[in-house]
Amino acid sequence: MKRQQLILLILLLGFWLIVSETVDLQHLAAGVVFAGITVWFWRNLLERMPKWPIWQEVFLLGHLLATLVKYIFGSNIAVAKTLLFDSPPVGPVFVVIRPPIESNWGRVLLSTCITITPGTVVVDIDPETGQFIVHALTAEAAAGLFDWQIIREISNVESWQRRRLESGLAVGRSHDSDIVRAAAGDLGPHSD
Amino acid sequence: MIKLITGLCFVGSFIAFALGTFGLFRFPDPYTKMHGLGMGDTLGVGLAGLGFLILSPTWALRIKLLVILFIFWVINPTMSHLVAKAGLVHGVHPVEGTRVIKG
Repeated sequence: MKRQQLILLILLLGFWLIVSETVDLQHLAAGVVFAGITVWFWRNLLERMPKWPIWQEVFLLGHLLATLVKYIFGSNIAVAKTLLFDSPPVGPVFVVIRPPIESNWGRVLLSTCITITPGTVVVDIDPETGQFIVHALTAEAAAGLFDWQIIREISNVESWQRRRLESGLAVGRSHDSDIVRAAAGDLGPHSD
Repeated sequence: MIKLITGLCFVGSFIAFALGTFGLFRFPDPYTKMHGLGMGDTLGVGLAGLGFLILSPTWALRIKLLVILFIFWVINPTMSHLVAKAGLVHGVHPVEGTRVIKG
């Protein structure tokens, strides 16, 4: 069993024990069996998952989450103001942006952040060019996307991961170099 | 004090959901209506969740609530994106005056 599979098994088992709120032989055995079956069933998908983040990346992702909560509060107030005081209530905009995000996980994360922020919804993403089509409630919400802090923070995490993958490739210490190469390819060319 | 904080959370949640429902009627097309409902889905659910987290008697229950909130905040934007994309693909026209800006 690979390290990644073992970590996933432990996480699933931990989740099962928290949900069941009971730690006895029966629950433990059922948890190990079903977590094992789940890990075995998704074994092909595991190889395509992003590498486990290191502490610096976890810290950056935590900072991103805090920034996102701040934006969610701000956007809720902005949408409420638009809803209550503007007449006509909206001046909607379709905005096309091409953020400097290369990886698939980065694009999915950014898309989720944009859509979870009230006032902006991602309508489409071009996987080839990384072009986002976003529907925004107002021109101000659309303009804010061009220099959004969240985009810079995701790009920052990507840079960390790219450097880590490239250093792993350079010293040849990775036990699953094919997967690392695939992930590095997914991140695209070096841009900084 | 705890009752006051949780009370404020639930009142805030109610206001967010009420504004979201108001937006559903006031905004003109399906794309803009989604933005209104987004208030209830983010701040409304978040504040209600925070209130329940504070009131929860055990940590196991708090972790379960956090998992529910996490899953909700992953599913909600995914479904919003799907609805918007389905609308565009199936020719649902946005309200008149909608502009396009290219970055």
